[in-house]
Amino acid sequence: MYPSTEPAIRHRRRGAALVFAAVMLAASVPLAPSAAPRVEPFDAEVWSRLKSTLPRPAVVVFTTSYCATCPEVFEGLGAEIRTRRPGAPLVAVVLDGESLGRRPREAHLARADRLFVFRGQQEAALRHAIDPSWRGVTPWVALIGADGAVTFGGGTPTRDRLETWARGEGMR
Amino acid sequence: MVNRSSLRAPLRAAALVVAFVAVATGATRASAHEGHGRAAGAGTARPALAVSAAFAPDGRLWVTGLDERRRLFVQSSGDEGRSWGPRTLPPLGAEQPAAHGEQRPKLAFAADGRTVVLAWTRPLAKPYTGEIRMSRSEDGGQTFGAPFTVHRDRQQITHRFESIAFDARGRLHVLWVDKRDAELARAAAAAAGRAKSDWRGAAIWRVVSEDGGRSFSPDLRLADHSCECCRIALAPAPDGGLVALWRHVFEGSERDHAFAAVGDAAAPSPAIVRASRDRWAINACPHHGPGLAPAEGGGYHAVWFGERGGVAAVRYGRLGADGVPAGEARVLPDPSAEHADVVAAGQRVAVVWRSFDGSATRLRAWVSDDGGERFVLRELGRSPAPNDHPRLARRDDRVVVVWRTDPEIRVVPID
Repeated sequence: MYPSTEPAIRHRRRGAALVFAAVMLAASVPLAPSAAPRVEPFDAEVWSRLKSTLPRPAVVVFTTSYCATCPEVFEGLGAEIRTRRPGAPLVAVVLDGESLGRRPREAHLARADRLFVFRGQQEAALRHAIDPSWRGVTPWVALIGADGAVTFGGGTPTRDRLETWARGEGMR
Repeated sequence: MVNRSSLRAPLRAAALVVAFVAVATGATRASAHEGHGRAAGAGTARPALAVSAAFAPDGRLWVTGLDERRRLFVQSSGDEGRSWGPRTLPPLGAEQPAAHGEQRPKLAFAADGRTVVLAWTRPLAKPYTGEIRMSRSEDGGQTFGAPFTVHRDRQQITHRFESIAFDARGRLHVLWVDKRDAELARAAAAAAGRAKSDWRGAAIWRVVSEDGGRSFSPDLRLADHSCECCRIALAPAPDGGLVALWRHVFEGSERDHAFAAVGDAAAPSPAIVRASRDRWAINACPHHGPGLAPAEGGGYHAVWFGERGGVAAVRYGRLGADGVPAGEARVLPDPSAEHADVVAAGQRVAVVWRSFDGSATRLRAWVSDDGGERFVLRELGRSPAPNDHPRLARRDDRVVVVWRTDPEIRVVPID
């Protein structure tokens, strides 16, 4: 009978609403930190493609899991980009990718717009393919200008280099 | 009021749905990343090739490194690497020494030939942290004891990039890069409401053992403001102690090199001498520590990597007995040179390095027979395989280069 069944229906509706809410919650809220970018593979071919496909200008930071100065430089570059060229991508490439799990432990890497790892055998060959003058210093920072030109350097770029990059002027 | 029991079923269902979606979502994400991992890594872990080498007092050449399962091993050869004895695995359990950048296991022999010590950095859970560990042998390297931590500070912070050596008086010295002071400075800055501390880099700390590593002194500070990621070079001093050369962070973030005497535990903190004048101002990790060897007639031979006047290069220079540069540094004849080492035996001075030429890595040497006045370039080897930094070992007048290339350990004499 209706009066007697009404509470049960209400309960079923509440139950259904709870289930629906739970589904929405589980589907929409990531289980791991949502800011962590998806880990992507990296090698010399990826770098070659990346230079032409990344939105410009962009900053690419080559780092390692054992580089103690990298987090501070990375955070500083992030702040510079937000100030000088909001929206420009900040990309991280970890050279010793075998130590990186599915998600980076390092907070600064989680703030990269894209995160790549190199899991190949020959780091020296990769460095040579990216920049033959790179002797292993990290962070090794690539500033990709609006014209696609790439300049490299170790650590935080000088103010002049950053200003040139941010103005979108040719960096060749 | 709603009957609680009437909601249990929907709640259970909701919980099940949450769990299902969570597992499914997680599984999907995991699969995606594993797929990327396979694509990126071609299914093979990068070998940990970092080795150290030393001659035992009886003339056998010993190496220590990590095997294909990343277990610490020691191995010796009686014929300079033409054949090797079986590998011995010290009892580290699941502990895996760090072997990246300039991190490598080390070994050192006491003069009696019976006491052998191994040292390495054990990475801790937090990034950039570690402990300096040691295992000892009292039977000439046949067996090794349980590992232990050499320093008293047990914070989960940087204690990395150890170097070890026995001095002429039989004291065992362990030096490492340590961030306890940097952490204190950071905490003080935070307490004062400042976002950053003004501490530069890390620091060099050390311990000394008078009994071959059975016991150690309290932790001793050698120098503030070292670079964070570079190896420390040690060499014998004329007074029977040691001297150390390391990359320092001078004012203006100039990562030149500093030199100091390393004495016994009672010795006061030594004066720090600036031993290179590249004035390379950089906020980064070069991952290139120096090399140091005593020169016949006094002073030292040194090699290091740095940028000077816009030219990044490995340089060779002479230091006085006090560590002050003597004369102009010379650039090695190879713009791709990296991770150089130096040793001297009488008037012979050997500098070795590796350099990648676009298709393979070359092992090269610069050899002098007149105490470093003139050098001759030699090609010692080439490998297309992954490889380690070359390391020199010396016994009396005999000098060899030990170079681990996947999957072999090459020993090249410098005759």
